[in-house]
Parts: sequence; structure tokens; C-alpha cells
Amino acid sequence: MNARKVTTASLLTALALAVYIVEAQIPPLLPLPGIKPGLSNAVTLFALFFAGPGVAAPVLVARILLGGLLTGQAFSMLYSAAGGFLSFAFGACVYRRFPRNQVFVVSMISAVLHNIGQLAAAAATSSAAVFAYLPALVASGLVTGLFTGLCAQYALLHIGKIGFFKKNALTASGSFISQRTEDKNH
Amino acid sequence: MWTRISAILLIFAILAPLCGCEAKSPKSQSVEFFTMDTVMELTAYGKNAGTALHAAQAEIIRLDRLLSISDPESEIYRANRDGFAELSGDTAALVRESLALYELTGGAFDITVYPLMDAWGFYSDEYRLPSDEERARLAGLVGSDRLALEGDALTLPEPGMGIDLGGIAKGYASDRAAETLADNGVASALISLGGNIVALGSKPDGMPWRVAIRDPLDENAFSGIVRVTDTAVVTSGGYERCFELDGKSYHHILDPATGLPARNGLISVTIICESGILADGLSTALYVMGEEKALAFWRAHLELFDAVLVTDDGRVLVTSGIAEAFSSERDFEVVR
Amino acid sequence: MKTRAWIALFAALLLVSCAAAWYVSHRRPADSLVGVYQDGRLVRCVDLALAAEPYDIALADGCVVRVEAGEIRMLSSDCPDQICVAQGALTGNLPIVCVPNRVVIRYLSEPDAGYDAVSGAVPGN
Repeated sequence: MNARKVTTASLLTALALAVYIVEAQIPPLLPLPGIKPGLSNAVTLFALFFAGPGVAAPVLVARILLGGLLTGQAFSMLYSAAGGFLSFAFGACVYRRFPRNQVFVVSMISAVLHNIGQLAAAAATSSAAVFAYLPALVASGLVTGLFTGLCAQYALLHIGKIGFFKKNALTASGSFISQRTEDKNH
Repeated sequence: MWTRISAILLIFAILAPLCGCEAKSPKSQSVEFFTMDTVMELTAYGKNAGTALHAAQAEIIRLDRLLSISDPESEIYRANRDGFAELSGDTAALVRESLALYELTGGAFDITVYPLMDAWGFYSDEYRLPSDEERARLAGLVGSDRLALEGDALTLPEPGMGIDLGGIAKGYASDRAAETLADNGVASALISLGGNIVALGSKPDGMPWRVAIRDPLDENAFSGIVRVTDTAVVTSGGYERCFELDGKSYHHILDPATGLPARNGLISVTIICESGILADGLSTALYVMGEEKALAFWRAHLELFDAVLVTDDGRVLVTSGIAEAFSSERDFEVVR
Repeated sequence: MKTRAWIALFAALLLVSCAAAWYVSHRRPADSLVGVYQDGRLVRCVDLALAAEPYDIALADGCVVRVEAGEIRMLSSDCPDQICVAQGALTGNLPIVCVPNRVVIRYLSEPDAGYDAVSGAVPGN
């Protein structure tokens, strides 16, 4: 990993953690387990499309580990990891195939997969009965995935306007900045 | 292409877990046969259930041949006829267990009641009322402390003595059947040997087995239902076998001390504990003891078993250890 | 695939899942038997119809379950989220779940006669 990648990853990790910790202070909106806005996933998604899975993976892992420790919820790291792994695996496989105006699609599917992964982990440790929550978590995954996906999408579409990134775009394979400098009208 | 695959993956991921919502009911296998003078029904779950069940059935039939009092080939028959016998492993174990139970229950459980049972006609189905003198005479032949068991050799010192293992044979057989099933890889099974129930594990879906207790006064009703896992449930009641003479009814659970059918206030005793043989023996013993002594006995041996007692004035008593797993449409009293 | 097609797909899925979620939370089994599971094992079986006086069940890990007036709920728990407590009484097919403590409370379905075997011989000779 070159210095540019490491720096990018560190910056994005710090950003993801900050968002995660702030969001963790907000009490749960609905009395259903696993329903969270998941705003830090916008950062991971941005990292994925901006700099490829090689950078996004460490950002995600660091966020899960440090976020769990810093918010005092070390136990739930298992569930975050299960969900995170499933959704990241999906994202890493397909991110090249989606144009930048469909980043929200990847995000919504990833969010649903994240919830399914968490649910599967809960079922493995508790009982299969928790799958009764599947429909609710699918619905919330779709909604939160849309929101965070749009955040990441707009960031990606307009990041090129910042002069620094126009000239010094990462050329890691799969970087959309280098391949598509023209915005598609959407 | 990847986008289409993503779409398909998404749909699959959402729908697939929904299929798991309905519990899959696994296959069960059963065998039903008649032995030890009663109907036996075994139900087991799992891949090896069929083989396991046949092995268990063979084991039960083998034990019946060993322990029967009417089969001339059985060891018990020979012991009763000759006053002496070399017992095989299972039979000797049963006799030893019976002697231990005799001590434990203060004589309420006694396998040497054979001559009394015979006098009443319970073995020949020709019922009669033994006279007071007859009962007094036979009392000299009753008492498990008179038996001599050295190693596996059993001696019945007085002529006319006899033993009947009927009070624990089914309990022992049910324990052995459960062991046989478990040895054959069965983790979930329900064994009913003429109403002696042994639950192996829990039901395939993880729920406990529900064993209903027959109402002594109404054969179509239940005193209650108890939820158990890996436990034996045995009920004894005079109603199971009785006859009427001159307007009075006499049942088959004799009090070894008096030689008369036990009439100490209980009409049904259900014992719930891990061991089928203990449950079987105690169900007879507590029936003979009557309500007060039975409850005192339970309090002295809380960790051993729990019980459901039905009294002759219609009360249902449930000991505290099993109260939470007991449910009934009738009122019942929890005993501590 | 066109963006519009994706949007249509997601809208349909959202609808289906919302409907399913509503259905799951409102379908209530006929009887009143509730199972309390911890670590996947059935720890207690509660018959809501028979519970006369309110009582509490204390579970191994700091959760307390209350049974009261035909309802069962998580009274208190040492988990950080407290979602299980906020859920209130058990309704429908949606279980009360405390993930950190691995506790699940749900209705047990008993579609059959109510018992699996009868203890006690049939009266007769």
C-alpha cells in the first residue's frame, strides 16, 4: 500500500469513526433491534468507489473495531462484523459494474445484506426465531441504504470539483475518478 | 450482467430466510407391540430411528422373558418355584434396586408381596377375598429383608415366598429402552410402556415433551399435563386394576404391612424423575404410604423426584419442583 | 439495468417487506403458551392463561422477565440498548429479543391435541 492510499484510508477511517460515534449517541428510534441510520456506511461506500476495496476494507474493519471499543459496545462487534462482512463482500464484487449514478443501488442492497448478516449472527447465538424480524429489517435496510447511498453518491459525483482531487486522483484500479471524469447527466 | 446478478441475489436473500420461518417437522417412526402384559409404544426421531426402535423393542422383549412371573423360562419363575436361583446381570440389578427401594421407602415398596397377590387372585384372574387368618399367615412370608442376595445368587428362605418384579420391571425396561435408543444415535424419543413414560431429550423442535396424567376418576380426562425433557413419568393408581366383591372394590396395590389394598387417601400417584426404575418403584411406594407420609418422604428427598398426587377427596397436589412445568384445567395445590 | 428499473424493484420490495413486517407482528397464535429461550435452549415455559398473580423470572444474565395479567414482557435488562425493554408486551409473532444476552421470548405453537403421551394405564384388568 503506498503512502497515498494509507493517508486516504486513515482520513476516511477518522471520518467514519466520528460519524459512528456521534450516531451512537442517538437513542434507538424504533424498539426493534438492528435499526440504525448507519451513516458511517456512507463513508465506507465512498471509500469503495473512490479508492477501491483495498482502501475501503481497512476503513470498515477499523471502524468496526475502534467504533465498538470507543462506544463501549464491544459485544455487538460480532454482529457488526457479520453484517459488515456480508455487505462489503457484495460491494467489493460489484462496485465496478455500477455507474456512479447508481451508487445508491449498491448501497441499498448492501444495507439489506448487512441487516441479514446481523440477523444471521443473532440467530446463531440465540435462536432462529429472530428471523421474525427479517421483513422489518429488510424494509429499514432499503430506507437507510437509500439515504446513505445518496450521501455517498453525491460526494462521489462532486468530489472532482475540488481541485486537489481533480489533479491528484487516485489511480488505484477501479477508481472511478480516473475512469469517468465526465459526469453523466442523470 | 452483474447488475442482474445483484438483483437476483437481493431477491433470493430476502426470500430465502422466510422459508425457514415455518418449522420443518422431521420424520418420526414408531413401533407398537404387546409385552409385559401391556401395550408398548415407542416413538423416535432421527435418521437411525428405525434401527434404534427395533433394537429397543428387542431389549424390552428380552427383559420380559427374564422377569416374567408366569413364563416358566423366566428367572423369576424359577426363583419362586425353587426358592433359589442364579440370576443374570439385569435381574440381579433389579433385585438389588428393589432391596434398596425397600430400605428407602421403609418397606412401602416390597417385591415379596407375591404370595399375597396370588392369594387375592391377581395372577390367576380368579379374584377372591383372603380371610384374616390367611393374611396373617402370609404376612410371615412377606418382607424383602428376608431375602438373601449373595452376589447374583438369590435365596428365598421360607417355602411359599415369592417375588414379583412387576412394580419396577417396566420402569427398568423403559430406562434400558431409552439407553438403547440413545446408543443408536437417537436424541429425541418418547417411550410409553403401558403408561410408564420416558422422555428422551426434548421434541425435535426443542420443546419439552408433554405428558398428560390420566384422571383416576375419568378415563377420558386428565389431571394435568407436565412438560418434561429427559425424564420419566410413571403413574400408579388402584383404578388400573381392581375387582368388585359384595359391593366393595379391591385394587391391586397391596400394602405389604396389612395385606390389604392400600387405602391411605391417595387414588393416583405420579412420580417425575430422571430414572424410570425409581419412578416406577416410588409410584407404588407413595401410593401405599398415603398423603402425609408421601409428602414427608418427598420433602426428605427433594432432589430425587417430584410428584403429582390425587387424593380420594379429589384434590390434586403438585410438588413445587415440577409446579412450573405443570398445567391443568382443574384447580391444583402446590406443595412445598 | 436502468436506474428506473432498480427504483421500481426497490419500491416493490419495500412494499412487500412492510406488509410482511405488519403481518408478522400482528398474527397472534391461538393459545397462550410462551417460551423463554436463552442461548437457544428453552429455559422456561409460561402459560399466560394460568398466571394468576404477577411474577418475575430472573434470567442468568441480568434480564428480568415479568408475567402479569396475561402478558409477558422484559422488565429490565443490563443491555446497553434497552430495545427489548422498550418493546413492551409480547404480541403476535414478533419475539422479544435481547441480543447481547441471547434471550428470545416468543409464542410456542401447539397445533395438536395438547399432549404427546399419557401416563397411567387404561383402567381394566
